[in-house]
Amino acid sequence: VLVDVALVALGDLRAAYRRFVATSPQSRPVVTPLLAHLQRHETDLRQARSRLTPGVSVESPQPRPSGVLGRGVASVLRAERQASRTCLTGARTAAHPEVARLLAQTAASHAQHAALLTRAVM
Amino acid sequence: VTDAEALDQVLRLEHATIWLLAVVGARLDDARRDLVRDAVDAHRTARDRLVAAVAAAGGDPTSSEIAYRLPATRNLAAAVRLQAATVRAYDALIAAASTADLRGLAAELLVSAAEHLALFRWAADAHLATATSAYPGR
Repeated sequence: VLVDVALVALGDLRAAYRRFVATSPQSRPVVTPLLAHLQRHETDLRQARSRLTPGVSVESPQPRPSGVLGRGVASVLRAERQASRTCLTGARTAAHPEVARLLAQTAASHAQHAALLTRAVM
Repeated sequence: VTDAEALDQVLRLEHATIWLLAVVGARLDDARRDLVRDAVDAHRTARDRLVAAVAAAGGDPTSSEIAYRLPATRNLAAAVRLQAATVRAYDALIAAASTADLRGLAAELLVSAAEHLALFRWAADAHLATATSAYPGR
């Protein structure tokens, strides 16, 4: 469940980036490496879930409707911070050390993104 | 390795990092010194939490040394190396801790340390791709 919740937050983040790049194509060079990290987190979290709970469906959680978060860089920042908070909450409560570590690293990575986007763009 | 020993090992690193970052930061320009000062404040908070955690785990928290061996170069790259060492230490602590509570503490401190590491790297070369990593500490 913790991994699913994290994946929803990451899905929201992906949607926020997609909208941001659509409205600000010049941001693509900045966004691309951050999206690559996001992709790795999603992949590794799904793999961890599959390995730790074999036989359980691994359908991707759906991000919330796109109107929720807005389109600007502020919406990306909000989604980065939310993703970091959600993953950190999961890391604090995860019973499995491997999941805790994966969620903590994901939280740390998105905290880095948020800190740098604040400096670089705002 | 017991939880108290694992925590105390990171505590010793925090003592050294606080001292060394303060020395390195003093040689930087104003903007970069402010970045390092913010990080040192975060390390002091981390140190205090670790002291409490070591004691709660039944250990005897190590005190700070009077001084530490200075790095050969005292610039932002040195600060990056010091900060990266703490990120690795918290990642290792998550793996070593025996309880969810301690993993949670290590996770919180990992996030904070990684955030400052990214800001140091950004100040050093201003490239987002090299300032962040998918798995800080790994």
